[in-house]
Amino acid sequence: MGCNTGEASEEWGAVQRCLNGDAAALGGLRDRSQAALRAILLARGASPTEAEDILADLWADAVPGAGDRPALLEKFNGRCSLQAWLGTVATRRWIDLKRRQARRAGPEPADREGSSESVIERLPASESGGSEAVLVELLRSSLQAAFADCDPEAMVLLRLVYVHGVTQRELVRMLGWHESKVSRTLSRAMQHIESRTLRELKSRDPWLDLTWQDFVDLCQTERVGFS
Amino acid sequence: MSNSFELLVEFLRRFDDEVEGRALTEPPEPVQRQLQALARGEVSEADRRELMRQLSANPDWVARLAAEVQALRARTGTKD
Repeated sequence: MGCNTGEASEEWGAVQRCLNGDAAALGGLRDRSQAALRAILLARGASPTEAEDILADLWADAVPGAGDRPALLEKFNGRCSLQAWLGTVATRRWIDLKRRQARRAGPEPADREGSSESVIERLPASESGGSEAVLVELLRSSLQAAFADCDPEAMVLLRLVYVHGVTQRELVRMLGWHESKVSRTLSRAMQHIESRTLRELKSRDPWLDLTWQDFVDLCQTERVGFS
Repeated sequence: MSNSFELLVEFLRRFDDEVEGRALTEPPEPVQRQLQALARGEVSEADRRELMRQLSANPDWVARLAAEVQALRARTGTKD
């Protein structure tokens, strides 16, 4: 998901050129990214129309526009790949859209009667604080549910090995287990966390299709890409 | 797998309202002694399960257990 230093530097430069009003730079960025971002949204459950509309909105907000609207790309801090960052922003916006559609859950409101505007067209142009929080909360609550459901001993062993650097051989000595039992316990715990997390996600937003790698990547990008 | 788990823990640490701003806690003395015994492999299965339950509820304390295990590593001169 990350990129090497050279690539990161190149991306940062491209973003700065876009923010400085370089239309060609923005066009180039869009040309390079559009297909991948569309594929990400489709894979995550968006319809082709939703994907196209979300991305049109995203590119319209990418650079400074009329009025005081902040440019979306100003929030890119360069600590993750630009594609991962844009993919996360697009996913946030799509989840926000789906949540709002679900809340509406009915015919168009009376004050819009006769309007030819689609729901997408009525989306605010700027990145809403709401959409930023929604995805983080979804990821956090799903993961917390999975952690809480995991065997307490297995959770401690996972922390010892993967957070604190204790070796599996040291666990063998500590627990008096065979090495294969240690390995199996760690592996099964991780599989449980994975399946429980994805099940929790589905229960909260059934239209969202995330693979485990998607989930991990989104957590990583949310953690480092927006601070 | 290793990178994923640590990454997820860091994510929760970043966004968990309950721990934000909270100082890391040390286990009480009796628990510290139990952790030393656990690190040496000198606790019964029943006591180990109870300790693990407490550690799961107090993840900050896991660092202390790790330190005890790693101190043994230093004493024996092996890491494996």
